[in-house]
Amino acid sequence: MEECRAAARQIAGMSVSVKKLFLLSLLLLPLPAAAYERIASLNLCLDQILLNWVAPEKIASVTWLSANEHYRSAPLPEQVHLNRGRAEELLRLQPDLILVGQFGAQRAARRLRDLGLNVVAIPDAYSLEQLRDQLGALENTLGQLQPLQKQKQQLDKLLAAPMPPAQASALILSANNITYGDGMLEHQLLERAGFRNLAAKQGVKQLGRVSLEEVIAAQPDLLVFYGGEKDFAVAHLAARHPALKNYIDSGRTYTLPAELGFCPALVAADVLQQLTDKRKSFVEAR
Amino acid sequence: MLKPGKFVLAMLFAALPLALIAALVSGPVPVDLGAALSQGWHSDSSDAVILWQLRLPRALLAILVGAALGMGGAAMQGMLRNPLAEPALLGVSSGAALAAILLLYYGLAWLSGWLLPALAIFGAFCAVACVWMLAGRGASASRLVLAGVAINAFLSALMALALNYAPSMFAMQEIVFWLLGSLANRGWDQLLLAVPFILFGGVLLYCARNYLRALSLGEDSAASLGFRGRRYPLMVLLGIASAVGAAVAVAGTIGFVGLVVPHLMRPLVKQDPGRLLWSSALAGALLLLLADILVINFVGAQELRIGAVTAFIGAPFFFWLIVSARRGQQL
Amino acid sequence: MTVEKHLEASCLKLALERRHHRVLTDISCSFKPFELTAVVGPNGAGKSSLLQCLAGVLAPTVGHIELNGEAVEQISAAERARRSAYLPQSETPAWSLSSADLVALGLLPWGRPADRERRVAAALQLVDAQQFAHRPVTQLSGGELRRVQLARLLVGEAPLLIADEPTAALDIRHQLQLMQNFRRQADAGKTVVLALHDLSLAARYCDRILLLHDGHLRAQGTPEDVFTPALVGDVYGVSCEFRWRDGVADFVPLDLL
Repeated sequence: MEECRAAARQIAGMSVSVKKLFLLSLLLLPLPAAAYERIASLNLCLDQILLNWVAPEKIASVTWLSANEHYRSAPLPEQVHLNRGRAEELLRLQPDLILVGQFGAQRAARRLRDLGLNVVAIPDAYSLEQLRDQLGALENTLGQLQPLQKQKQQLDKLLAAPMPPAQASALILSANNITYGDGMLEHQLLERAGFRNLAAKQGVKQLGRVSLEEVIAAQPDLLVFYGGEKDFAVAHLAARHPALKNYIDSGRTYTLPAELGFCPALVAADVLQQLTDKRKSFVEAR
Repeated sequence: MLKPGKFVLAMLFAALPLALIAALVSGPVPVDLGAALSQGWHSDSSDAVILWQLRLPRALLAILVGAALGMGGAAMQGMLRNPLAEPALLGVSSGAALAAILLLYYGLAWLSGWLLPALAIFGAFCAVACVWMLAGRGASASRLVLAGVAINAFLSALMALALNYAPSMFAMQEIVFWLLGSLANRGWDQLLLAVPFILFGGVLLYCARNYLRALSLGEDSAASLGFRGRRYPLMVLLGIASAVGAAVAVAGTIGFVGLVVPHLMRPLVKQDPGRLLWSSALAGALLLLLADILVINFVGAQELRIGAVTAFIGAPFFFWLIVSARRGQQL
Repeated sequence: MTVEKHLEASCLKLALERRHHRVLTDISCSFKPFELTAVVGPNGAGKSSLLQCLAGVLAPTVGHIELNGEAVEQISAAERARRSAYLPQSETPAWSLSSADLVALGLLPWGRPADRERRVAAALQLVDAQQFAHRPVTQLSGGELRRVQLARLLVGEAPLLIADEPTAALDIRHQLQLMQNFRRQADAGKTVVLALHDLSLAARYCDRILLLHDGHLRAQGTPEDVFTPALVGDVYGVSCEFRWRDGVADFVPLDLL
């Protein structure tokens, strides 16, 4: 799981600006950095951002991992080349913008930069603050994309609101009995939504393990699963255990979308909103 | 006065409920056992849920799986007249695991009722039938083990291949689970799934006990004593496949229990392959329950796979076998 | 139990093929109560195969076996095991059972009779093996093991006793003891069929001789009828003579033919 997420964060992509948007931005806003027509990405998360937010004809290449439907929520345009992070593949495609992440494919990025191509590094996001930086960097590079703007504004608004007092408790139970503690984006989202993360309270830093017994004994108000459980895996057995039936029957569960793990920019704002709604419903029910 | 063998067996029998209690008090969370018991089955208190929904089914599953593996091992050794035979060594477990993997990862959901154990049993049956046919009638120890290793390696490779291409993010880890087994996060659903098949297999094997006794004289003598034709070997194979296959379907392949336990029990029952069946079931249940208590108490949520623990117990046993063989004792 | 005390076994035009090889051809013979029959013949003549067919270990390809006029196909396997007991040429115990436990296995077709221990002790006594009743069979010498196995054969009540070369691996004392034992069993009304290599023993103790050659029944009859230098010399490929004294024959092989 962790490997997948790391890999996801490591491959970088490219940027596009749609003509319409370009014209629009001409009228409304300062000029975007450039109106790119052939954008490539060397990072799984940036792949997803391009596929979701940029016009398909402007995408020249995404990483091969994005061919996997497990990671992809938007359709894959036909002409897109699936790269494996090698400089020569991208050179042939002559992209006018290459997006890379903070880690991974660094050798290829350096080489492409040396060859005079336009390579832009987008920082990874492991916290809400970093997420804002990431969206800012994307905006600087890709211009004023509408969905990007919307996501950024939504996030700004939620972050600007005062930190709500913790009114309910929550615990994350992910694959392999992994839970998320202090210092993780998931933890921040819970706190921002007004939940007390029981794992952090018990001293879990970053990732920790939690057995089913501990879940039951902790008695969280909300049990949070991590997405991606469509297919069978022994790793997901805990989440299917009949002892948790009470939580599922009474609607005291929430499932984080799988994208939050490898590309939070796409979903963080929505997740925060949904968690906040969930917390409010709990408080009202009391 | 009890004879020493019977005394030890009685001790094992008495130890089982004690081990069950030990298993019920072991866990990462301290639980008030008395309160949980008195609150009863349907209580929603966390102590009661932990006891009734988590610890009890897991402990019972350990007993059941251990008994199936022990009895399967005893029956396998009896049928093949070979003390080195073991369900896992001869591909039964990997056959069951492969079938379960194909169903779980490519087919229907986890709770697809009887299909999962039934298919696992079918896989186990095919695997052991392959070994049996490959080695030939009345095969020598070396030929049997050779056939078993070949089939087992092939099935393990197929398992790894199937998991590698499975639509799951956890392929490598899932391979480890199926190869080493685990009892973590199991509940009543898995237990109820396995119980009827393990009981069915146990009854079949028990019915075949006189065949296994007669077989200690060889196949010809067994035939002349009235155990003729394919009926009896098929009964034993089906019994082994049913018990071990269902165990593997819910707990993965746990090795060494089926090999070590009959060895340890044989002197206690005066080498009688018939009585070896139930005594191995008893000792297998106890061994696996103790191994699981070890896993829970000393490894915690990190979940060292239970197969690794049984291998820890099994490997020294082989050292001991070698040493005693070098001292000139009978293997 | 409906087992007759006396049993007549008949082979009707028996033929057996194993792995596309004809092992037995057109054998018709019968074995009667009170009779001790020896099946003799050179190596590979089909002695063991005939005995295995008779004991129900092998099914003949052609022909029938009848026990007291009843075709064996009509008899259940358990019932047949109660009618005939069989000791194969080599029987290696897989587990080191005690001698008494191994002998008790001969009672399997009868379930668990109450007087099991007494019967086992009596059978061990019969073959002069009571002193190692509690020794593990893996610690016995070849001859001792053979005697224990004979006790396993004799412990039941089967009216038909079949043994494949029971005298092999025995010293001369125990060979004689064994043949006397079988003689007594036959005199008591049992039907006894033995495969033997020792023609002198066969001539001395047996009532009837079946001489097999290449899967064919070459001759059958009393020892005096069958054991003629011409017949035996032809079948075995040796020149030989039989010296008869008071019904006891010394068989003396002279030279290769």
